[in-house]
Amino acid sequence: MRLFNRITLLTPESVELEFTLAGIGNRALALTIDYLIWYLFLAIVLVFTAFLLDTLDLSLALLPGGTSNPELWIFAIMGLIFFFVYIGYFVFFETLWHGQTPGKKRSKIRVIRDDGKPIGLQQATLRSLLRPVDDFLFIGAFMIMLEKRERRVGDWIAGTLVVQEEEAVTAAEFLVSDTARDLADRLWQAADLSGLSPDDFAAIREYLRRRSTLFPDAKKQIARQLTQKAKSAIALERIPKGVTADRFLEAVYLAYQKRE
Amino acid sequence: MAQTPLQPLSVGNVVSAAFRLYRDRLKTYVGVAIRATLWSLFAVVLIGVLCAIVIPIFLNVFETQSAAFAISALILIPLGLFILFYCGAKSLLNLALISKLAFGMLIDRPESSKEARKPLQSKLWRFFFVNFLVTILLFIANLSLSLVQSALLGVFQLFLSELMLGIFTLLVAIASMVAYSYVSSRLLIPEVPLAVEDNLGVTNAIGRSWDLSKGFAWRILGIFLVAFLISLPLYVIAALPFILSALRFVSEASSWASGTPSPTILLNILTTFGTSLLLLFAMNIFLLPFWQALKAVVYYDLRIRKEGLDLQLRDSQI
Repeated sequence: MRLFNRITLLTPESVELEFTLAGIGNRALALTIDYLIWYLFLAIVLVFTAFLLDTLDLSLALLPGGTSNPELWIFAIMGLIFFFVYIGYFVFFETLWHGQTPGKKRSKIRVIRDDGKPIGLQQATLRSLLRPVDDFLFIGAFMIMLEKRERRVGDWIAGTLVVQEEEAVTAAEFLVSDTARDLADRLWQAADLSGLSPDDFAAIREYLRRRSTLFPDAKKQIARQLTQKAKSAIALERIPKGVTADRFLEAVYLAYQKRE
Repeated sequence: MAQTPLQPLSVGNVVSAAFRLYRDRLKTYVGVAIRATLWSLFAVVLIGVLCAIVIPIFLNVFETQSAAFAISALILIPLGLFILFYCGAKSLLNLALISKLAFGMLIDRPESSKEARKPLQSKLWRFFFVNFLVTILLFIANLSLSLVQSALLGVFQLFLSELMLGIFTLLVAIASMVAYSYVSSRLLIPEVPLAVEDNLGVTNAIGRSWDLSKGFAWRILGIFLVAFLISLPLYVIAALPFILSALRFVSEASSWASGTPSPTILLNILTTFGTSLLLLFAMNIFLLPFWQALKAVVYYDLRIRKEGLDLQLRDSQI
């Protein structure tokens, strides 16, 4: 079944981009992390204000023609700073990091505009200003859970969406033994690797990437399964003697990559 | 080709997936949750009725009250326990059924609740004993941790200053909570393999939960934390009338010191309180399927990571 919402956006250049929406789980996690850091900053501001009120009003009162209410000034200035941090945390990060905050980075999600472009200052500010509305009685949470494009009030007004970062298909980080390299060369000569479908290759790749976390029994079984499949796909009669399933699969992986 | 992402899921994605499953099959799951809750209620009601019948009978038969109560207890306690256990088992079976249905959706082999329920009936008592055993294990863990805590504090209070002792107590309490959380997360999902896999005994099912969660206990805890966060709105909404009535009660109580409370206000507060209780009850019925679906997704994700379930499924599809 379709577990995650995918959406297709049409950019202004008429290019179709497909994204996976972030999902309530990722957004909740990101929000929790962000709120913790955010509250920390706000707490620092408050503590600083208290400190100022304690020490400074003495010195200000000593100024010639000094203000009669230094506390009010301090309140006003710190209030302004508080407001800026309140709104600014999200605006700052979402603009600077192109739609991500520390929490969003951890959940691997990103804010984008609904035409696929990265968000700018305007959208980030609107989202941030509307945050109190979304926090009131969890309106934002309900909207994310129920709305088709998972938008909260801030997203709706600012015209933004929150999507999952596409994982770049990087070179897989697993170790391949030397015996596998030699075997790969022999396979390259002996077998027809075009018989291996991209899906089969993907399965082998996934196995090689994750074999260290598998239970030993399961690992053996899957290795065997994949080996049988690969063997028949590339029309190889027998697997060379003394070659384990793992080595064979590594060799197939390397040999397949050589095709490109 | 299947549309489930055949790869391990991140913490947030597990929760989103559980929510999605829950949302898509809401009616079915809530129906099963209602059955589970009704079984629990039935137990309580039946026991109450039995007490109401049996005790007066014996009070009439015997001369002394104590004799009457003794005989009643002799009959009612075993009977009551059996009713509790049986209805508990039925309730747990229904909850596990939700997880089984959710798992079926995840591996693209959906079933109706009738089909899925059939093989579970023969395992009825296993559901009860799994729950019972896990409760005992957690109790033992809790007890051991408390003992260790007391022992440590007893030893250290001899040569620590008051302030240091306070800090030490706090740290030990936190460490204790962390250890307990770790153990609970390893024992969280035994009913899912029991419902989904064939021929699992009680200890095997618990063993499955323990083995599958090895190395992923903190991840599981994180998942449940995030899930708790997103279920918070529903709990708060349900509790809102209760909170309001409680506040009202507190504000009214001050005026009662002077005079007698007005019956209309009292009734008003009681009705709001009652509404809130009903709402909380209803919310619970709605949230039970979410938690069971979550357990199913956790089980699914662990099997992907530990047994390459996605690789096996991929194979069977092509």
